[in-house]
Amino acid sequence: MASSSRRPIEGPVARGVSTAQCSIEKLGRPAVTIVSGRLEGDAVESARVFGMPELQYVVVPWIYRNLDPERVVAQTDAAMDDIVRELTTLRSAKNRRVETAKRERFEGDSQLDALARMNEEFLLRDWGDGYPLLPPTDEAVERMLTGTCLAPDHVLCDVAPGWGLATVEKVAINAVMAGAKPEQLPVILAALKALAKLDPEMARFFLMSTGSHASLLLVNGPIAKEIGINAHAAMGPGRDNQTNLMIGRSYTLCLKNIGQWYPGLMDMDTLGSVRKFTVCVAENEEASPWEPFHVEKGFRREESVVTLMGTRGEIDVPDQGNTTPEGLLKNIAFNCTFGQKDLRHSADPDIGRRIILMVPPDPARVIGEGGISKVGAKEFIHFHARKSLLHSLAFMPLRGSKGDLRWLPRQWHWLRDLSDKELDAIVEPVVERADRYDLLCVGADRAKFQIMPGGPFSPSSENIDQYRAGARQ
Amino acid sequence: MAQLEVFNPVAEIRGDLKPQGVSPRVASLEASTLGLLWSGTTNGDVALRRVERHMQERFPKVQTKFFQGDHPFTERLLCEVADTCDGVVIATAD
Repeated sequence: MASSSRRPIEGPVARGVSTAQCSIEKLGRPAVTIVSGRLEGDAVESARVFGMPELQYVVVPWIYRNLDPERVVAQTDAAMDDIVRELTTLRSAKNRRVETAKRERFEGDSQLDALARMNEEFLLRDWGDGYPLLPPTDEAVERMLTGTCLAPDHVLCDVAPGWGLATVEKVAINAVMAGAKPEQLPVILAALKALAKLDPEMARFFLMSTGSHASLLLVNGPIAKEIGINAHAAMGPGRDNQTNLMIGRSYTLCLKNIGQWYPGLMDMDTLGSVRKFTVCVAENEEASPWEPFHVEKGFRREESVVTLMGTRGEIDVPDQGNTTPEGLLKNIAFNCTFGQKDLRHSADPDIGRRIILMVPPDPARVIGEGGISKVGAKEFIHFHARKSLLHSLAFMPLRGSKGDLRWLPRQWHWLRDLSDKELDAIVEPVVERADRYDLLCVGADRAKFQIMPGGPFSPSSENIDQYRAGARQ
Repeated sequence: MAQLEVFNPVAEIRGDLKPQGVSPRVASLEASTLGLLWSGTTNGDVALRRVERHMQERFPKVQTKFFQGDHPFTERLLCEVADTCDGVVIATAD
């Protein structure tokens, strides 16, 4: 029988479901996780990230969640010899350390040819986003570093999900590869710091989920105009969005090459999303009838701030003919009812489904001139954005084959004996509270809205000014 | 022949700074206490109950303890599992 000498878990702490094994091993007990084949890359990378590269696990062919009972039993039976072996026998050690040689050299018939070879090799190693990369030469990186007051070897933070050490130099190298300019570097640094402020488990869940969670960067304050971050049609390709695109791309490359956010290893997407190229927008503070988002969060208006939000999709909402605040807000509210309700995290004030509302200046003006504050608009939308629990649950069974309640948290157990008809008769708000709506004034002067299902974390903001060249550290 | 020298963009990771080995394995499962840790995700419990049944058939004196934690597992639960079991099988259904 095991002893009960308890000691703290040392080193990077693995708190998540897929990495709990590391914590148990660090506590001195052998453990084996049953891992589906598609998630093996995650298991290997997670083990290394948490400082335990030799972790022992057993691979089964299929993800269990949607298997019928016969297949669950069959693939578990087939894994039994492996489970016993991994519990009782040490595997031989393998070196899985990341190779981070400082420089790479490429040759070619011309500089263009050498650059093409660099791109071919970097993209093969998955160090890019699929598009051509600019060369991070000494000269280019040195120029990039003029954009910040921080020293190149300063460690800004650890970047999730792999807890890579974000030295300012590594951030600058990735920013050069993305095509960014020195004046954009402080925004990129602040965005990574905003990510680092999240609870570590939440950051890993957000980035490693099999769902298509993606980052959205919102920039407020003077820097947006100074460096040309678009607040109008801000999310598409083209000349007007160069700054937005370069900042978003730099952030993405930092997640990959600093945070180890590589698809199939630590980004376990089922389908992926173009939002993972990272959307960056500015709020149109001049045209907004409401206080800017960063002021709402406690910053001064003259501060420059970047805010990280989570997104899970986008819905384009047209409006024809509404001229009153009530009509416009009801249209928004109706379109917020798309998607499932997050019952698992409904009791946590900081976790769960949020909804980002991007309202362009024209309709925002009508709502604001109607005397409706930002808080008032959110409360109105929250009141009207409702639907039945049957639809919110998306027809997912509440009980398992043996009548167990499976994933349903305790506070929702009262649902267990209700029929579909009874569930359909209960109409609930689609999010828990009015403050789970994030209302932003963004967009060109047209009567369209964009609604982005968001979460699972509350927005995380960071002052940009402290990272700019000339700022005092 | 043209040459291009560039920086490597990949950062060192904290886990590589001080890697640890895994714990010693269970000398024998016979007469041991085996923890079965389920994340609450669908079918993970079914798989672990199957593991439990096989273990009891192969090692008649083995004792099993079933643990369920909400996502994410708390440190308290993980310590309890480590304190009371000789080895642990984990199923997340992923």
